[in-house]
Amino acid sequence: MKKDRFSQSNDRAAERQRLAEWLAEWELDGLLDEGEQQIPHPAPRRLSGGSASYAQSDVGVGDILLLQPPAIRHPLDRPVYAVLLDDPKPSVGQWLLVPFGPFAVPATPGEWVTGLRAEPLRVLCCWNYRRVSISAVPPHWRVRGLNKGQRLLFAEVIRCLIDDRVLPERQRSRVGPPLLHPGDPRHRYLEEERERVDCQLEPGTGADDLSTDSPSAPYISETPGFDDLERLAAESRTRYGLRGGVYLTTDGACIVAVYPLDAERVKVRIVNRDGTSTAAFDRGYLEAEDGQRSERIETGVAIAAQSMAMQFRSLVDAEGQVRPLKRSR
Amino acid sequence: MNQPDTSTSEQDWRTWEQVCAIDVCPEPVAHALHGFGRRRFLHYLQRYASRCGHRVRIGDAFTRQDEQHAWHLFETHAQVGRDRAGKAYKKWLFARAAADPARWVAVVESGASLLMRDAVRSYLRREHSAAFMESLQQQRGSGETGFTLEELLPDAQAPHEVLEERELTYLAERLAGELLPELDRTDRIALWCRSAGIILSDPRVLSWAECGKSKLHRAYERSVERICHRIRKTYAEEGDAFGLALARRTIAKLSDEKMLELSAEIEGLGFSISKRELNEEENR
Repeated sequence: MKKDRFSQSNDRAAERQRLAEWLAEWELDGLLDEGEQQIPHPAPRRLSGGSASYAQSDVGVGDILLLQPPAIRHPLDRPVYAVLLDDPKPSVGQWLLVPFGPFAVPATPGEWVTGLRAEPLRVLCCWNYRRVSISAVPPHWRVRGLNKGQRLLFAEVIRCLIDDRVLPERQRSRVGPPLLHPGDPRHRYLEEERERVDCQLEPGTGADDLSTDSPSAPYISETPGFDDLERLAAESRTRYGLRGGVYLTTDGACIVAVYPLDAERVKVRIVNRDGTSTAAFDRGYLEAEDGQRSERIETGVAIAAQSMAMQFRSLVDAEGQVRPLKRSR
Repeated sequence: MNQPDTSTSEQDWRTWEQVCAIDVCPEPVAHALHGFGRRRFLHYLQRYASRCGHRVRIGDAFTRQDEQHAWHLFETHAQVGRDRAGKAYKKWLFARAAADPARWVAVVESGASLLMRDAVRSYLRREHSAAFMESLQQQRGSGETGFTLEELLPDAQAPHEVLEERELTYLAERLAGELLPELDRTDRIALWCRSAGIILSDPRVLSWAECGKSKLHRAYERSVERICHRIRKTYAEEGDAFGLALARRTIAKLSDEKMLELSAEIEGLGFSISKRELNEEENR
């Protein structure tokens, strides 16, 4: 049911209140941050042969980990806690590693108040997830596990956010306000948090098997375009950090990047894995799970219906040869 | 409190880690760590008070009581459970210092200071925050102007109810043309990177811009504020939703690499061609 203007007004008021709270904590953090230059920090240098006592333990879905500090220190590092969750996109041998945030208030629709009492675990930064190999979880200490009810709840939330579904009503008040304005300080916060987790998961710390499909892969845009933000906000989507979707052909040779074009359509660009243009699929088309087809691909670009954006299943060339697709983000 | 300041030693920290709770540490150890906790607590509180003196007064009875319990505040904030696993932050402190054995104590203290800073932030937010009393029209953020909550989250109002889309595009193009000469090279690089989804701390960006990420962030924020300030002045009657729509279109125009005259540099830098070409496609 479409909301009336009064309900919309109330929603916006609540969002502004949440934003005010977040901005207050952000500004507070900035005030306390200065002067850190006076405190000695470990000299950034790479350890030879790996750091001492990386104690691996048996971990599984629902376990909360404290990631061990990386070999090369970020100047103002903080402990990074993260939870292991099942990947909603079935992938063999991979989990999601989802970090917790530094603040008590969620910044964006992609951050969610967990209800856990421990201060480092108050807000889950779902947008900043990474896919990790089950056999190569980054060096960590296991700090606790979620109980069964919590595991189900966390799984439901992350599934909604990654699959671009609307959160259940009772969870919607627990996410942050939409990010609309290009001058919003949250842009800077998101970059810093992404960088902080990237720094934790650098090569050489046991995380070499990290999937390159993670949001930190440089060729995948992590920052939504401004038009995306308005569309995401207008549709009350709680997904954050995804520009429109990225697929890979199952042989890994090609990337299919999806971008919003207007309210009804998306633009799709097919490129080689190294980022160079490809005309290999010109005069072909993309096909969705429900059988819809895109317009014909020309110069590596195709137009498709918005409804197809989240459910492409194959790339078909001019000769009719089918290349299955897997969703990366 | 008139206890003399004492610096901590490696033995103090090791003992604390072994016995788990400061209350069961030997008195000299507890004394040293309590003193450290108090000093750091006051350091951050004074830093905050020096900038917002009207909100917290160092020295009143309430803050003195909290100062006594600074170490407890630190431990309560950092732990995620009462068992040993829940106090893994101690292992984090020591693992961090293992990389720099020559300065072990200093590095442990710096790590503990970082944790104390977070604890003080939470404390101030709980005890002294007045966020709910802030006006919607109060400008937030840094820079010459900052943005109000109403600007950051305007009321939902489709721009086409106010002005046709093509007029918005025309206005954005005109405004972009007027503002372009005011952008220096750092501004242009920051705008392009943000539009291309490249984080400003990317080493290639830092090398290209020949400056640090803080300067690039400020350049971006300054540019956005300049655009929004101009719109606010010129179209004051049109409302925040219109202002946001025009700002976003103007920034999109200004972020075009051809307009910014950065194409040749981007070509040679090795950024993903797909990203650059995609940007060209979208701006065509």
